[in-house]
Amino acid sequence: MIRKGKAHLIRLNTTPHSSTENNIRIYLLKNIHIPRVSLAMNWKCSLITLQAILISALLTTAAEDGKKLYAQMCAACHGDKGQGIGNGVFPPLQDSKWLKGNPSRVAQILLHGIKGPVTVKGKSYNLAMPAQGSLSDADKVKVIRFIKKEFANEESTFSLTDLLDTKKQHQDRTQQWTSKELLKLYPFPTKKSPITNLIMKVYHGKWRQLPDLSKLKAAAVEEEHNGFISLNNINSNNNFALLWTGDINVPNDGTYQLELTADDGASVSIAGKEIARINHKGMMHPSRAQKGTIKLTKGTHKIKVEYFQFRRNRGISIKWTNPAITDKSQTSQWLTEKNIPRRAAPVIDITPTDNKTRMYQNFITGSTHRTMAVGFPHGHNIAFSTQNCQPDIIWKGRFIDAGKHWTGRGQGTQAPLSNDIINLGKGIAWSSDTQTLNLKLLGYTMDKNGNPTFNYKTTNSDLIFKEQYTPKEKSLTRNITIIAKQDQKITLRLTTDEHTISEKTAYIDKKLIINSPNLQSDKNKLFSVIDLKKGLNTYKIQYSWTK
Amino acid sequence: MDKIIANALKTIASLSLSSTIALAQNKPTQSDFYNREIIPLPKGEIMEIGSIALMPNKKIAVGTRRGEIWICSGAYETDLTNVTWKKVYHAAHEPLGMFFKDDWLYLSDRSAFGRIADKDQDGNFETYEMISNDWGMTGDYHEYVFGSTPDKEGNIYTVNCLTGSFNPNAQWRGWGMKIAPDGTTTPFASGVRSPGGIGYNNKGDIFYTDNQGMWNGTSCLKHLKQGSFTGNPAGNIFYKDAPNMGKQPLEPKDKSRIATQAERIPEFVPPAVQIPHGKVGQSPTAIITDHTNGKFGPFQNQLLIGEQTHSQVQRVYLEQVNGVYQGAVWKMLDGFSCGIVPMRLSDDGTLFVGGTRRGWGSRGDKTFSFERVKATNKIPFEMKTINLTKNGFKITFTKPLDPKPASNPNNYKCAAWTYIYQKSYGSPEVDKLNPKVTTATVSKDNMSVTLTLDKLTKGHVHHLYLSNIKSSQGSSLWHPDVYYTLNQLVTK
Repeated sequence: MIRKGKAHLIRLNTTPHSSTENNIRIYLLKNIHIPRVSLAMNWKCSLITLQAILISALLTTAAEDGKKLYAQMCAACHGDKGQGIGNGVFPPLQDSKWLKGNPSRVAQILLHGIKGPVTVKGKSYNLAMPAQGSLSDADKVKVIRFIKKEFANEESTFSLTDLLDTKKQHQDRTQQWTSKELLKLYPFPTKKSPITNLIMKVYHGKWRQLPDLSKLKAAAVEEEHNGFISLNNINSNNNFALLWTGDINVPNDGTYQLELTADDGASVSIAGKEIARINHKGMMHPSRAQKGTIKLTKGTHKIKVEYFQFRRNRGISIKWTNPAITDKSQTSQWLTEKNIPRRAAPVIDITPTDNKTRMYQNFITGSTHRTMAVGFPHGHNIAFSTQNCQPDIIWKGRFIDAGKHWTGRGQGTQAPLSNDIINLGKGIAWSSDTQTLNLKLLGYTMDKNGNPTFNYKTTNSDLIFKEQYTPKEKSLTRNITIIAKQDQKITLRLTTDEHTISEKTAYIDKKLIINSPNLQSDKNKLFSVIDLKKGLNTYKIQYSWTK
Repeated sequence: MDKIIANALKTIASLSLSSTIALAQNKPTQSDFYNREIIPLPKGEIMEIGSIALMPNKKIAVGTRRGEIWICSGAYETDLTNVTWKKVYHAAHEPLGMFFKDDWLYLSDRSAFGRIADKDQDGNFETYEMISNDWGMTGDYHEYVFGSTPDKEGNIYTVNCLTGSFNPNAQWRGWGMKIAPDGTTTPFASGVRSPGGIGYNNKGDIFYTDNQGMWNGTSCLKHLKQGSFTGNPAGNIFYKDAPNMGKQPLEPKDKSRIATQAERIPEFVPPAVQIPHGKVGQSPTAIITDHTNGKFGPFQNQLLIGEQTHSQVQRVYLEQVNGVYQGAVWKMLDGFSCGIVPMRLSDDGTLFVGGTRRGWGSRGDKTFSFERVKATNKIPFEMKTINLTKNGFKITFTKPLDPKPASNPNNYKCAAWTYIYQKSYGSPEVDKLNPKVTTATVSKDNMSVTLTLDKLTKGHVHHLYLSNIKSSQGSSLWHPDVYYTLNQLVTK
């Protein structure tokens, strides 16, 4: 404690340790409006007073909360109300973006200081602030929480553990931060929305004008915690509609102007009154923008936004303006998040590269809901319906792009990452003379290369199935083993979708060749009739590509 | 001059040292009582953790939303820099429930409840056995399935989210199911909306967390009582397929109150604990019981509840009144680096917490995380339990009270409210009341206080704020707010 106190005293009174601190000292002395605590540090004060003030100052440091610490340690430069001191020499904290969001940004400034040009509320400052070594780590936390609450209106849960975490991340740092470095590490957060309790309902359908969503059944509903109206959680470009409802906080009584643009259509209502509407499909263009006004009283009102998307480009933006407010930064505000043109989700190509087999269990376009996509070596791939014990899709080339399912909420089905795709069709593949065979998945075992053997049985355990695939350069062989309790005839459908089939050679759509025992076709569908003998039966079905 | 300064510094040193101690006692902070540490994850891997299983030999398995299972060694060690990871499996479909038993890792994922094992001991879990997939799915991302650990008979329970979180578009969406060890799957309870976790209390009764939404005014902890209806009627169309569940319950009346409808609908078990939206949490997740006999602080047998949006852990104390569960929630741990989904508490008192914020934001700004929390040797001064009495509450504390402020009824502020039980999403706080604490009687041992209130309201959340209560050593309460859900009045 003594060493700490001494350092503190010396730094502010006599020999500065660095040119940075020298700068600070000079500014303090130049300062016309010197706050009470800085006054105590002024060398002109009598030493007796100095002693008394120092004792009381440090006492409060230890005994009081962030507010007192701020007054002592920070207000000298940043002002007792966070307004900044010295007629624009020191930057303000009040409403400064620097306090918004990630508390580590502020923590790093307290830990290492900051130097060089800094832009605060549109004005550039070129100073150096030293590390606040005289604040203990616990005190730093208190100051951070106080200034975030007081000047940024943010309740922070930043704890000592958090501080120690962020400290550890840059523990070898000896230099003060630059503005650029800090903002790269801890960028400013996006703006806060005036809307709370925002609920978004999703509808599927094809519309060319805004439908009456109240009559439709939603397919999904979500709470949007950030309060912004946004399409960014919707992973589709075509044929959907959205309905947002929430509470909008109106800061003052007044007449509010609202401007809406959308691709395709949208409408906005506040307090039960529709203010703007774009009824038909079309692009986001100023000529299609709709304006409206509404008189609102201060307080919370219900807001409702409807939107539909036909196809291709999409977007919605809503800006509201209160002309009565003179502060330009407050008069208009976006209720929507910046429209990020929806790219396909980032491609996460999980094609196996190590001569091993890769499995991917998710929703595959054209297969059943319970499906294991399997990517074999040599570019052979199947979407194997685990619920029906058959390959629904077979394709050659790259395996699958997991980007859609591994980003955002992961909605939708994913098509294979290839142009050479044959949809063999979904539906139950196996049947006996009289009925379809409901096979129950027992599980699977992977060999050393990750290649699975799927195990099934019929409900009465009369038949036990094993299904495994052997990938070779030119073909994929499907090996089926069936243990039967008695002789019987069963049918295996090889395609349930209709294809152009050349019967003699079993070409499918001129792309895929299927070789199977007792191959037959009926109405453009292929099947094999299998004569099972009691005991072990094995079958091979070969899939090869014409190219 | 030097001498004067030196004197000043000596005085400062001694004064500030003692006042630092006083400060610590007055303003308790989390790090006084609990240490949170980040467990390093394998470099370059996306580890959005949705499930955790504790394994023998201090190993831990985690399941990621990408469907991978990883096993970690070293997560119990003091020095976390030597933690190692091994990927053992990669083909699950967003597993949200996992436990280890008899050499098998059991997984509840979107498509099935099954188990994996490393039969050939080569480090890869090559064997998968499917135990049950007796529920429908439509390809909707919201159809999450959360699975429990086994009960004494080896059954597990799943809670199946509604399609899009509000439609029963496939079999058993919106239901709690029981899966026996042989895979036999039976409907267990209806009324589920969008769960975030499932777990047992110390009596072995099963509970789940359900998120604010349709027929859910605020997020809550619900008792998944066998044969019951837990509040959201969307899935009730499946009663026709559930002969073991009896007749379909009456349809709840829209824009009513839970207490009113619970009297009308005999099968309706009201939420045990309402978690006030925004004030306490927004997305409750994992449920675990503190069974560590004090190794994780003084809350033996209470529940710890994960919170995804706020990146926190809340604490719940339950009691049964007239056979119905009800109880209180307190804030407990905060500042986690990501939104919490799964948690596990080991016998040695280490809480393991997995985080993901993909698709749903959280206060913690990391995209995923694995963290652990251990109690320090300092016990926080906290409310420990709160029980409803005939005309008020009895609150016990973790440390002796200073009886003077504790016996002043003005130091207890109470607000009570309920939620609209309705088909539309969520509810504001309604029917607000300000009951008055009329007497506060401290027990002889100073370990508890009995409060009399001028009014107790069935169906209301009772928020008590203990404004000025001190321990006998002068500490303030770490968390002075408690929220008690009153489903049943004490009549005897």
